[in-house]
Amino acid sequence: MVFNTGAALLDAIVLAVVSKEKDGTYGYKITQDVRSVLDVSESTLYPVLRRLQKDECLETYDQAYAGRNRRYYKITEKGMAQLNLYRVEWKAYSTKISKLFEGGIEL
Amino acid sequence: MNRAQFMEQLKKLLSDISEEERQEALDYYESYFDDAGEDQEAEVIRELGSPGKVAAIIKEDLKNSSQNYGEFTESGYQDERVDDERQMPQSRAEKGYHAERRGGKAGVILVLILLVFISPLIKGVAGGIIGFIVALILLPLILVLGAGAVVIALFVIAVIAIGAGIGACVTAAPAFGALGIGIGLILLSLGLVGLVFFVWASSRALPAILRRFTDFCGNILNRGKKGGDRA
Repeated sequence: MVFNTGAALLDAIVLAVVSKEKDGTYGYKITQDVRSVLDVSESTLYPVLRRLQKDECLETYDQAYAGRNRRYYKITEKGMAQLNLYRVEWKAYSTKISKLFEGGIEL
Repeated sequence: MNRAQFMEQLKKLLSDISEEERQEALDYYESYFDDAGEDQEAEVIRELGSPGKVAAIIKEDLKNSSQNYGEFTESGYQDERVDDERQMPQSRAEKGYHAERRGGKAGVILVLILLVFISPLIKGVAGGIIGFIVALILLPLILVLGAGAVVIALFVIAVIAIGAGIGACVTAAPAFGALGIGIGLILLSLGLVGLVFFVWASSRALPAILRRFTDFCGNILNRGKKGGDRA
């Protein structure tokens, strides 16, 4: 991967992935989902999840699964608001860069 | 390394963070291994990297809970939490141009000058040979200095000749005066040519010769150390 993913973009991607699951999703699946679109190290995501949880963008609950507790992450209201902000920002940012690359912007 | 060893090491490495944070992280990674399944265990360990890396990332995140982890630097975007091969290739920065060490040149020159001064004191054939070699080596320097002296002399004589010629014109013999002025102008033009040569020699040629010579000396001195890697 040539481009690096900054903290904000990683937050946005994780929020987007979690928001797709109404009932919440769990660490391993989040990692696999993120890694299906972005080449990040598996060890990068735990701190992101932990931080989003502390910032109350994600909430967690434990549910029994296969004889053990599995921790689920679910997006909160605040998380949704944050995700929407990221979406708007990303749209503006990516549109400009795409236009520039495709020659649409006259400098 | 298997899962149990990995988790054991991670636990040790996280011993200096709060109990709550440590337990949270350990639970997460235990779950992670569970969800990945036993057959993926080796793969997960490989992907996570070392327990040290996992611990470092967790601690780094706890340390600066601000949002600004990454920054743009000369070698691209750097996120201090993540420093693996997937990020901007660090090798690019490491492989950048590094000027060769040029130290020691001044030392070589100083030694040479010293040799010139002490060479008469060194008795015998060896001393004579060294003195000769040093003189030969310093020949370009002497030539350039000589050229400078000649240029100055030409200018001085030219000015005198022109002055004398003008004097002669005013007093008695205009013909001799014209001759004097003519000779003076010729000398002046020769002096200018000499000046151009002197400037070129002292600013370009001499440094180049010196550089080549000191490189040569450096090679001789380093030959033993480098073991002929230039060959």
